[in-house]
Amino acid sequence: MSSQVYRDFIYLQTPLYPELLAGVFRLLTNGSGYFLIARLLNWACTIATCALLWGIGWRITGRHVVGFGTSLLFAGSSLVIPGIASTRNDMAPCAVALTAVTLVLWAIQRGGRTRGIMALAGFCLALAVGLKVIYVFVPLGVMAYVLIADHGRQFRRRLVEIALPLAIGGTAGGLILLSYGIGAWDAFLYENYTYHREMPFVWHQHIGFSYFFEARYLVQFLINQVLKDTTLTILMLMAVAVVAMCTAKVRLRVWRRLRDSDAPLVLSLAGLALVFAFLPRPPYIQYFQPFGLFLALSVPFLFNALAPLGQVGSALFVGAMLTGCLPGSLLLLTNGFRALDTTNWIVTTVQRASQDIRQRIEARGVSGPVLTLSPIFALEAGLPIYRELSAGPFFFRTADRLPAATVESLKGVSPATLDALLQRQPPAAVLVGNEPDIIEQPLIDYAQSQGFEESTVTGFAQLRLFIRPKRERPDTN
Amino acid sequence: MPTAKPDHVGPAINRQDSIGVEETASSHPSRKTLAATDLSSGLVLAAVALALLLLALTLSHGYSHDEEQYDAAGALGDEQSGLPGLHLSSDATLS
Repeated sequence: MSSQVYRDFIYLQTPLYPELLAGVFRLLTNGSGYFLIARLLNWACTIATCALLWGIGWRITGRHVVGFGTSLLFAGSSLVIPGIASTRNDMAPCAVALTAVTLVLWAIQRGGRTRGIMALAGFCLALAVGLKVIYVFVPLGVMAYVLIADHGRQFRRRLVEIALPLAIGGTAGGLILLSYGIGAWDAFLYENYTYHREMPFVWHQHIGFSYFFEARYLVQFLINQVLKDTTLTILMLMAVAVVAMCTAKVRLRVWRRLRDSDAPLVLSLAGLALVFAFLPRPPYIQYFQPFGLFLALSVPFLFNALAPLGQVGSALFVGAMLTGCLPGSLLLLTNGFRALDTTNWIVTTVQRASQDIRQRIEARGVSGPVLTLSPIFALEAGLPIYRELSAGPFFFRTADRLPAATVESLKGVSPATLDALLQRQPPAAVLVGNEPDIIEQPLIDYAQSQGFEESTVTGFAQLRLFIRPKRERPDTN
Repeated sequence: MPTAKPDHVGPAINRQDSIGVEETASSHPSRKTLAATDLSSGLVLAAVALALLLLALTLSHGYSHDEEQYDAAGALGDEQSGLPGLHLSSDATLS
């Protein structure tokens, strides 16, 4: 990257995802089209995750149908779909974390020399955490498992051949992450940790969502958004499988098959993912995506373990696959038919709106950055933005809580320091409308006080574009 | 020993027979083979359909403000964008 996150501009997440995006943008774009490329990268990560799930399902059960069903249970899950249809940092860490777990499973089952594979797995785990910090439970769970579980190796051998290479690979990846703090340690710590510990609560209280922290709200959230379709089906399948296992008196055989296929690793990762999803912060569906991933991954392991139940086990899984996959598949099909009309694609609509914005600004003959909390539109048009607002609304909306000197050191801007920034560098245009007025009012006030002329934007009725009027050049004669 | 030879020959003849049966099977695939082939083809088609449906979802689903900072940070890191005279690396956007 020619500009470095934290040191040169504000970014409120772990550093690797923008690095990945910047690399892909450099390869595949020429100053615009970022939104399309970012969405395509997300799709590629989704396909990679599905392929890995298929491969693991096939390896565990020897059946491609189970592998495909596992992929479908993942892709059709209401925990996962919001991440697929986004450019957020959801699918990339998912694919990398699953790659790491696949490597660990391979190394454990393989016997023989495993050091290189485990080192690579450790490196991938560090990258997954670097892409989304919530995945920190995966290295913790994997390390605990490889130290505790037997795998037919003595503890010392496990330590030397599995745990140590995993730690070395993880440390190497961790050093890459820490390198982003060089020259900007305070920003690195604030934007990765302190901000997330404090500001989401501050903001939600500010807009009156104090019930986010009440048990009643959490229960409602779980019922309405988490315990749906695929997730609910898999959990019900697990409950029925336990009952069937006890009734048929095959518990010991099932347990042995579970242990031999490393199901405890996958199931404990699913459990840890659920625990980490409940870390104290306003709950959002994306925090439950890792749970959706490891829950889907547990399906082939359960299918394999329930073989002693014979046809009952197979029937149980066929039923679970059909009912679990049906809602998500129907949603995908409905969306697929709608997507046949390419003019309605969001990437096309955003591109059209961006070109409209660019043409309107060019027609006015003014120059300067676009002042906006929705930078995608300006960037798509190849127009510059303020780096201080590169985090969109997320830093700006609570930045007044910080001293002005801290805001400046974080490369950010607050409503209180906005005027000073705009005096140093006036904008060519102001684009608002995607955020509530409570956040965007300082931008609107500036545009109106400076006599900017307001117009609309094609395809987005809520967007308001204010363009600076071209001043007559002062007569120097 | 004399009896061993025919014993040895016997299985060899049977193996030839089994080869013959295999040849017949390859020219007229068994129902099981056909079912397996159909299943494989079906799975390949289903996988392609899933990939396309996921692509349709990725390209057409609405946009959320959550996506803004990721694209912006990636683009700022890329630093290719900008109209002539409005480039990001200008003093305009440096804090």
